[in-house]
Amino acid sequence: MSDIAKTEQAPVAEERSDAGSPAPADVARPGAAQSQSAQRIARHGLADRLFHWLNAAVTLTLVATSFLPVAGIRFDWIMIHWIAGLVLTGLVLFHIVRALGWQDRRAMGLGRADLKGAVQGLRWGARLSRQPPAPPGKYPLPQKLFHHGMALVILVAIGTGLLMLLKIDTPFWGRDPYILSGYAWGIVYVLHGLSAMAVLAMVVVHIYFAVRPEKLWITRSMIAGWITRKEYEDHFDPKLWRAGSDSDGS
Amino acid sequence: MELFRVAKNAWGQEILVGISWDLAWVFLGAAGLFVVLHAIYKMTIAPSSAPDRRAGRD
Repeated sequence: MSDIAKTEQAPVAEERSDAGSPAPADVARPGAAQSQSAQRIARHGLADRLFHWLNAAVTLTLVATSFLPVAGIRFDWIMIHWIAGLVLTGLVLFHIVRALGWQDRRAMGLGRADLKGAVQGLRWGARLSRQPPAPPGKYPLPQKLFHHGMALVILVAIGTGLLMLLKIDTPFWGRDPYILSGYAWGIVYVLHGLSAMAVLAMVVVHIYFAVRPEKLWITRSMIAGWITRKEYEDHFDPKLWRAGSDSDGS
Repeated sequence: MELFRVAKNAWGQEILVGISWDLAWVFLGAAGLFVVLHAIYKMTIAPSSAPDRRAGRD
């Protein structure tokens, strides 16, 4: 992680030095602009980064064990799938408890400002307006919508998956396929499959944005935990997300 | 294209056994289409870069 931090830091410092006339204080102290742009703002705490990457690994495992057998790649996928599903359930429970108890829930909430920003952003993005959208708080609207959409489909997948566990023998319980009617099981299977396909599509889109050049600083923050002061000032409203307001970067 | 997978139970009744696997390609295709369209948008009509909002800040 520290290697990534070092390689990302240099281009940011160069960008700042090319950006225009430095502030008077920077002229007085030539190293000031560089040190300010290299100054780190905590964005994601270690617990949240670990959650994200474990979640990613488990989700990819679940997607692979779901769709590779369908694509004709035969292997004993059931045990890997249900164990990964239980790990995902544990991770999601951890995240819910942490988000409700230790993090600022408003950062992920939707409000009127998001709607206004969305309209401004669409007009600016379509070149109907020269006024760029107002900077967001910690999470821009697309990130919030992605989070809530992914949360919904993951919760459906977990709920239906836990029900489906009742139909297989595990070390913890024996199978009981008669707990639901045949019709109800059909609904459970359909919802589980639909949510899995939605996760597949959302993972593709998520990875696409994570590797886009202009988004790499966000990806870096999910690896190393920080963004630079310049990135903070360029992309966020300090009134809506006060840097350093959370000790863990949450 | 079928939307659902169905099977016959022991009594010969048709029962729902899941969503059609063909739909996975629809979801994957929709995601791929979104990626391509967004990439084209970014290369053509999208404003050149993220705005330096500090300039307009009050």
